[in-house]
Amino acid sequence: MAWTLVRLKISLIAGGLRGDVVRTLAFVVGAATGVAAAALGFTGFALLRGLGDAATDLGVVAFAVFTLTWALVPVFAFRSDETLDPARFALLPLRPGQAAAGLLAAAGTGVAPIAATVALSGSVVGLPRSAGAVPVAVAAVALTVLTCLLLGRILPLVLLPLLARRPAEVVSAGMAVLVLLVAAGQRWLVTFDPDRSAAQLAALAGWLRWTPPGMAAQAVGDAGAGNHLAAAARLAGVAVVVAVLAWCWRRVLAAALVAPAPASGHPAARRRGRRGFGPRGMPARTAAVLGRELRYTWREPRRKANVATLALLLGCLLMLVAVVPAAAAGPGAAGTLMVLAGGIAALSSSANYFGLQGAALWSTAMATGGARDLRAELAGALLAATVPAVPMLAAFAALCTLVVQPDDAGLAGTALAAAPGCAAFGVALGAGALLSVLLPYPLPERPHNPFAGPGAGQGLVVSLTVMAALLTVNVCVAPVHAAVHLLGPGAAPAVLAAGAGYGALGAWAGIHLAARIGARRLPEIVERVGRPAG
Amino acid sequence: MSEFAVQTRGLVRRFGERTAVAGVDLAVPAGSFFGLVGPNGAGKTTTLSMITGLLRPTAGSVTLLGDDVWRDPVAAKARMGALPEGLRLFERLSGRELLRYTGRLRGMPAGVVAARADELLAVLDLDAAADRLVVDYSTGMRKKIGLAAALLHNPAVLFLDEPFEGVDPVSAGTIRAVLERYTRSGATVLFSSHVMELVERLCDRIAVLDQGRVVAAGPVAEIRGGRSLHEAFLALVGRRTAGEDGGLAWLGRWSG
Repeated sequence: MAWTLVRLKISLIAGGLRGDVVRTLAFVVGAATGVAAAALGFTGFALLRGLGDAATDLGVVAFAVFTLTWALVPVFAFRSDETLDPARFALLPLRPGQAAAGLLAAAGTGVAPIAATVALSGSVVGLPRSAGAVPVAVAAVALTVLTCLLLGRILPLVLLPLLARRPAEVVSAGMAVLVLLVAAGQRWLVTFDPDRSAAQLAALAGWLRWTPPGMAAQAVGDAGAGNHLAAAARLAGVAVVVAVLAWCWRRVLAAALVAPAPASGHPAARRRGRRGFGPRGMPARTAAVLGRELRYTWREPRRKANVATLALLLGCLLMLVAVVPAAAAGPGAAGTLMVLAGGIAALSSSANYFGLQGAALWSTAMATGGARDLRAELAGALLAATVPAVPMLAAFAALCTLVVQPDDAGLAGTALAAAPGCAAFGVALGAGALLSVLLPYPLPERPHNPFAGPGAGQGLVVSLTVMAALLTVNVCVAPVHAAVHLLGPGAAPAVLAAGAGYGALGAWAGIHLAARIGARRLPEIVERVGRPAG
Repeated sequence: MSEFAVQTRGLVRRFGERTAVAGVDLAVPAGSFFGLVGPNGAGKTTTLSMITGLLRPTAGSVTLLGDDVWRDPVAAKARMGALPEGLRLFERLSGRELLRYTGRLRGMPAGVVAARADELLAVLDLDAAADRLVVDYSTGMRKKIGLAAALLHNPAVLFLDEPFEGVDPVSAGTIRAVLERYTRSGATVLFSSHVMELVERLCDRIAVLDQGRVVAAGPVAEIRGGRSLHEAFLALVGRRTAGEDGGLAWLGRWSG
């Protein structure tokens, strides 16, 4: 069964590329990036060999970071692989164990999981200090890969019930996770000192070697040191964790297969007293789209997850700069961080606007006669993106200034940090509108996984494009950075207004350009995203 | 005003090597209830998508009440409504919100939208579910709210792709009554279906599509030629039913 599903996934990937030059090209670029990343990762892990005693400590940390990245990033970056829809297997006479194993094997088939596995395999070269430790390293790599695959599958299904709750509760839960993470890592993090990095690394490894991936890496170290009993015990521990995760995966999958498609979870929408739809005082179409998008932010699991993820990401960024001052040193650091935060906040909500409408896009297209209609449409969409992002970014600007540049804390300092952030947010919104018409991509409709990413083989290219857009935004806001440095705290309100104006101009330009291009390409966009991926 | 509500000339659509629509010429008289029939894969949905401006034709032209759909989409789209195949809507809006949103999207005054929306919800028997999210609607309710959204701006021509598919007889009756009333007012309906009994009952003219071409078009009585439309359709598209000897000998034999 596992092999059948692996072949099915390969066929689906190949079928998705057939006759589509752009997708094929995207897949080739993604595959080439995957090969490069695999080679780089393999070399990195293999180079642990030259580090002597520190190799095991670094290996423990690297295994833990690797697992955390592989298991969490695809979910929270909305790149969760859903080429095979578990719901399609509900009617087949499969035992839950067969379906679980098959879907897990299929999850391991693809450019990203293969590249990650190859990269981690470098530790078979880098970690063992004796020939006897090599089989232990092979087992450690296999168990770690299984842990990652299982966590990546289980997480969306576990998070789904949470996303049926109100947005405030979803964001609060995200924040609670962040606080727990901070509490867990606080002892090490607050005492971080780059000058004592070896000792600090050893201290961190001391804790991480009790996590499953850390135990796997430590087992290789133990075997290399001749302590085979400890190595076997650690590997057995990891195997037990994998077995428990596999059991959980089987259970949540079995439950998901027989559960009906989740209902909205919303009671009847409140009947509005007034007759309109969307706020008054703006063009009808802009108001309508703004009203619709805000309701979606409130009601749709994917949008709710997006807001919660943004809150989590900003929190993590703040935590990182709070405890690793070297990560954000120097004057204007808060402004640089704000540019990053603003860019991510804007692009995460605006970069695939038409793809997010998916199969309902036909109704937008039916009511679109030309660029004027699309301008009003995009203006409403971008305004809606600002509603949840602006308060979060404002809080981030204040806290970021307080943490990174405590001397500048206060209104003037915060305003100076916020200026490039506002500019970046606006310019990135414009870039998001442009990306929406230039690189629209369909999203799979998976009621069981709101984190599902673009169709197979496309995720990497979408990520690369978003990164390129982020870089472009950074370049575009250089004049605002210059204004911050030149004018200083004395002109903070003026600089903030200029930053906001610059951002608004960027968004406006993006909307106009995107509307002109989009009006010509709308039928092609509908054709591309109108049918769900996979 | 043009004599024809919809006219297509040499409409072609190719997907790579495959030709889905291979030169369709249609002339739908204004005020008619026109049926587009054909077997699965005949090109009905592709043709309707090109006529409604959702899919760019490889070749050919479409005019709607004299306006070229692809050269002057503003004028054409203002006068058409559609209920496409699959019917995916903005499902996280309630039925009432969806109608109000659709009206505002088309730039209609809020007061007019609200009044029409309430009336449509009542006529289509959706008022009790008006404030529930569309994602929680049944198939029949989705078709009805889709029809309401398509009629909201009072289009002159309505395009419906398989409007009765998956709809229970009660909802189908409601939809039929609304459509009949709509055409009595002089509006045009172009709808695709492969349910011949429905087409026979509702339409005054039809076009039969097979393998991307029109193989017959005209008044229903003329196409029927004294037979039932079902028989005439089978004769036109030339399919035969697989008989008893057509294989499948294993079907219905269970071991153990």
